[in-house]
Amino acid sequence: MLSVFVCEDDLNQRTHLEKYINDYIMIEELDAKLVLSTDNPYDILNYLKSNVHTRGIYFLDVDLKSDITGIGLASEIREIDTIGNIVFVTTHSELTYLTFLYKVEAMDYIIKDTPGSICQRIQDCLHVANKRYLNDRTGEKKIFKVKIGNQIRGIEHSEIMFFESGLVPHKVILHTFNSQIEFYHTIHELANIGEEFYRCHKSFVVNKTNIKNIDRVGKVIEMINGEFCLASSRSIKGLLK
Amino acid sequence: MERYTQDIENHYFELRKFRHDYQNILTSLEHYIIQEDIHGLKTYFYSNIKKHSSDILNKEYRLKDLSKIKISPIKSIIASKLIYAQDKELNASFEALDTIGDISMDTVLLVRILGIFLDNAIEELLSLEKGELLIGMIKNADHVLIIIQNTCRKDIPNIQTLQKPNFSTKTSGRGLGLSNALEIIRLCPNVFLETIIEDRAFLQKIIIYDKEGE
Repeated sequence: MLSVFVCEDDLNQRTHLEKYINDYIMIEELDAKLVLSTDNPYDILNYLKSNVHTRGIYFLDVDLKSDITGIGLASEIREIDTIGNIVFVTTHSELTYLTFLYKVEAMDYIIKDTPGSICQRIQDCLHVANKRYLNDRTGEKKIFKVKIGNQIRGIEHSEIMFFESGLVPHKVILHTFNSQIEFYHTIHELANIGEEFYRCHKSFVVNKTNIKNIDRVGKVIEMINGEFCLASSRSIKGLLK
Repeated sequence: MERYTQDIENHYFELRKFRHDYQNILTSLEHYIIQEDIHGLKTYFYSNIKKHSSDILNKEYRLKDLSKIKISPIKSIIASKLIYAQDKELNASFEALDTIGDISMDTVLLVRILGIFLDNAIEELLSLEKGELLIGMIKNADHVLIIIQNTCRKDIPNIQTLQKPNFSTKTSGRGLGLSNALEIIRLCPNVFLETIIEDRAFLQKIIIYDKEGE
């Protein structure tokens, strides 16, 4: 079950949030429940400490009139629920967009000043969190987990084009459909993360399902996103088999 | 280094411009005071100065977090690029929550990278004539994260193409910037770059891990 949490000190706003959440869970028949709605950040931390396997989505007010702020609370939640979905709900005056998104790798940032869109944004967040939860639970989609900064990110295998080894030892560059991510790893271990991955060059591991074209003469492989990776003659033979 | 000096000069020029304006404003106010023309002063103050001050304050507001960066060259390069962008009427802002006193990367190298990334971002926004530039610096437990995000064209080429040594969205003799920056980052064992193109945003995140014992 996906556990939903609310931490908001304004009773009126908290009641609204609860209603939006409960309505959406009921209408969409989600395997989710609003387990805790409170004005006290420590209620959430205490709950998590006694339920360490919680998979949660957390709607947090930033200014909590407590000795910890929403950001501090989010960091502590992360310590326990490392892949939890954190959403900040805040007023416009507190807006520092990037900080909220990246300090604790929040999922979203909802501004209270536009009441009309709050309900929609909350439902969007619940929708995404539920999708992530289902993917993880069924294991239907294969996910490559990578630690980036203080966050563990899950990337679907189908999104991965290839891995490229970096210029310094243990640095690998992951090319996805629309991004590049550098992280700490060794290239030779990456050929083993799934059967669709293939060591096509001493510096490259390619996802065979995302190949668009193989140039045997030029010894390059073109991917479906238009990027290229190198291939050795011997590995091309292996690929064409 | 040359690029950096140039940035400082631009920065200084901005400051001089501001001092000049400031002087003019004081002189004009004094004129009303000497004449004891309170009514004129009121009108002038509200219709001219107050209006501009909100402009200045607004700009300043979006730069105020710069004071949290305690590494002068880093602060200067970001300030000068932001001021340049704002002068070109681009929507540009900087944010930082925590004080940033040290970063485990050679300062000159980091200044070069930031200069290149910010130049590229501003160039793209100028060609689009709209959009926004967001810069953020975040201190976490074992690393500093620098985020540079700008609006980009819809038909932006794939990341690998953008990174090629001679690629440029402008013609001839340009386009070494990004590939140089990339090479610097790739040679630093504790510096990791993430580049994402999503929803017409070009997002670069630089993660600089703290070196042990520092």
